[in-house]
Amino acid sequence: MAKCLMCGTELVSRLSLAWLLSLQPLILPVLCPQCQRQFSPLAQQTTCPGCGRVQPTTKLCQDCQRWQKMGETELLANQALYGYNTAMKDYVQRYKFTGDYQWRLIFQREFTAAVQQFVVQEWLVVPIPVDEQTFEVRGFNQVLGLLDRVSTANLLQFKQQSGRIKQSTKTRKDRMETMQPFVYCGQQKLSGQKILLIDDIYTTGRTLYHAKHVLAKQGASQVRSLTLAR
Amino acid sequence: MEINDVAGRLLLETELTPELRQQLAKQAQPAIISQGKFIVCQRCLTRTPKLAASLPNGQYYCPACLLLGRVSSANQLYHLSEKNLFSPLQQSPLVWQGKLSAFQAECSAQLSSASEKTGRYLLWAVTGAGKTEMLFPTLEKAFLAGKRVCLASPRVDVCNELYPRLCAAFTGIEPTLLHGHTKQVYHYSQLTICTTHQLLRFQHAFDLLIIDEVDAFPFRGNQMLGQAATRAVKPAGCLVYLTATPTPELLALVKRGQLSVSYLPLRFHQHLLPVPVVWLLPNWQRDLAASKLPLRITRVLQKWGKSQQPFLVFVPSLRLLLPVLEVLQQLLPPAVRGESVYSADAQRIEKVQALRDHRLNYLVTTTILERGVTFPALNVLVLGADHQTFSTAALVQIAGRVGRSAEHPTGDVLFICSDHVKNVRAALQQIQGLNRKGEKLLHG
Repeated sequence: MAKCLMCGTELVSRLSLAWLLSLQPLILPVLCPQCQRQFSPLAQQTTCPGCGRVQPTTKLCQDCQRWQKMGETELLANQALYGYNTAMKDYVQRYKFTGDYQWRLIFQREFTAAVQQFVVQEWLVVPIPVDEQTFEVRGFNQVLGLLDRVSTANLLQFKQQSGRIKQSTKTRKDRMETMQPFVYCGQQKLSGQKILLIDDIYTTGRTLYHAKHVLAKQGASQVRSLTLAR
Repeated sequence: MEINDVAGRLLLETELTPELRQQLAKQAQPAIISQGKFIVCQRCLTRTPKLAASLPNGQYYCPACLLLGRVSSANQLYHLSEKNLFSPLQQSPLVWQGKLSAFQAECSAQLSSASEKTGRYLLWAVTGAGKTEMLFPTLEKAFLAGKRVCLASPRVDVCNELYPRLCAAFTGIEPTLLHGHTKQVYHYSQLTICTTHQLLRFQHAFDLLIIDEVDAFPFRGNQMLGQAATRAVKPAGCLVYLTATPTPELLALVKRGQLSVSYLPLRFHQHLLPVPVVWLLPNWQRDLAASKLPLRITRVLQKWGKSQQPFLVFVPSLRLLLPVLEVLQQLLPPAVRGESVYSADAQRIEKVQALRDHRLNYLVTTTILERGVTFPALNVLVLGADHQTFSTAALVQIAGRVGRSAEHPTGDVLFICSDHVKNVRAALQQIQGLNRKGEKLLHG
């Protein structure tokens, strides 16, 4: 019998007549209801149109207004699937930093479905890369792990530099002062292409805006982003 | 970190200093071995299908022992054989002043001679028999002989309780305490106190390994931890299991003569175990939904509240904690204070301490407090004792919380059931059986 990926309790799934008549594929849960409840989905929430964080109004949040003042005329219009709460923090810790690759399955179906909605509208999906050293140790790119059979374009790579400090270890101020880490590594110009950047977490937006600048310079017509958490 | 810190251990290169890594380069062995469609992790010996273990960069990782730090096929494991390089003790390190009862002393002597031999041994002593004290003579002898000893338990709370007691009982040993939440750094010592998960980092290290509460979760029925325990002992060493409620598997080994056993059916204060009283109240859950409890239970709780003695209320599931706590707060006068505890409760340790210090009068709890905790003059109520979360062993352990001190050797144990079930009946039979044996021991 299937077990909850997080707590290991046995999963009970009942097959209903409604499902049988719906002719839909059987979707088995990967988490038990208790573990599932700890995450906070943002789909039905009021969020900031710029970064996707939960707030009472649909006006731009302070952080996004600051991005505008810094010269961003078009914001990323980030869509996030979940709020960054304790459960999400623990999830990222286990999946990304401890390196439990199996845990990609917890959000893979949902994340893939969200990305697919862009793919059908001819957006090009560009993942934020992982630097070579991290990839060697971790063994996977945490963003690509969240995708199931979606074609992506690896248009970004890290500049050759030694001793890069990870964003996750920095304070907000340090993050915001980070220099452009990416270079474009595609074959040709992106004339008029719509681009969807994907990443695991939107924290300050610094990394995603750096990526946006590189792609906009190559002629992308519009750059948006989608993240698992905000 | 020194070279002795690797003796008897099985460590990843990331757990070593660069100097040691260089020095021990010849001892390194691959951390993951491929076997057809499976990989075998050399740290936890778990077989995982390659499909579930493969990483996009072509490596494999072991999902089974991940919480001790991930092992992947890029890693290597380092091991140095244990040579018992302890400075010899000039005199006995035992400074414990207490005295064992005649029955305890006899059991302790049996254990002591068994621990000299190679193999496995079971010490089955009832709840509150004074198991830890019975270990002292065996430990003393082992330390004097320059042996390396480990006291392991599946539960962190038990380790945390054992550590100060052993520090106080022995001088000049300086035990190491290892578990996921301790800030202590490992040091090479004649005595290691650790959770059973930490045994995954040892190989042929101990002359004597004692596992306390061997039937507790997560050790019970866990093949990975069982193998780790076997491997942590030297091939000529001795593995001792300690429990008040042995599993049917252990008892089967005893029956087949594959496991020798000593047996103490009497508590240290030589009073019999309190026998639970079972009340069949099929409507208690319906009453609870209406924010009350059956009158018989209410009367008992009010009596306990008046007596100023602490009590525990066990519930079968997490979602009953709050409703039960709210009903109790209504029933009892405001001076009688209570709280709820469960395994993931951040304030668990503080709340248990508050009950000990009489700042709280009662706790509503899940099975997390079924063992390893001692409160003098305690009474216990189990709501829904017929629920499947309460195994026979759990019920015996819960009843065993009561009457543990010599000043208050008795107390009330009340099981509330909606139905007659095997678990409750078996628990009663086990307690009555132990009491019969205890009585025989007392009165011949």
